[in-house]
Amino acid sequence: MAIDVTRAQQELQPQEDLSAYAGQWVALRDGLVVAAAPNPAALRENPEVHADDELVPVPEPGAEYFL
Amino acid sequence: MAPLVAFELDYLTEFGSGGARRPYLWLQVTGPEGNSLPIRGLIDTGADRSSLPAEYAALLRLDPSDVAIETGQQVSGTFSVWTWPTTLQAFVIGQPEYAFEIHPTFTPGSLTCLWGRSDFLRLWNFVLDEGNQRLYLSSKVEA
Repeated sequence: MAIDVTRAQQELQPQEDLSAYAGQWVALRDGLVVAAAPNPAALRENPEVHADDELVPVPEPGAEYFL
Repeated sequence: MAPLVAFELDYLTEFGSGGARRPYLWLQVTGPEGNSLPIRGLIDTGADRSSLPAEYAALLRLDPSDVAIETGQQVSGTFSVWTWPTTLQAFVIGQPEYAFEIHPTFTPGSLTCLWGRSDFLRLWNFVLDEGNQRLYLSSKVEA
């Protein structure tokens, strides 16, 4: 059961560096970026984005310390 | 009825920018109309309750007419948060039989999801091994 959790969580992990998209939302499919936009509504309007893609906010750069 | 469960995950890979490695966890969160999203959040023992970027309110189809504006506080001062009376259904992705409710705030301008104490951590025991960058979760209730 623990293996299932690990595998399921890892399958959703981004497979590429998202730093280029900091401050935006990205649509991920199989861990890869399909599209980026300032908000998820704009992503949903993008025909390249599928309904089952994960929409993920990417935190701003420069946050060496998160408090 | 499924028994209590425990599992561990590493957080050896960074997410986003800055190279920081933090204890993120994917939850599947379902809104009141049944639409469901995978959301990656940071387990945060300093957060009184879970918190999501405000855009998730629309993605989860929360009724805008039910929103309340409240005040949150962080180290740098206060800020406005949106709250709803509605709780959301959630489970740890990979562990769907252990469903629970979360009652997050929604923060305009935020890009960070937090799993906080009064909802998520009330139902899951959490141990952090920062030296080895591993987290341990065990359920407090049977499925």
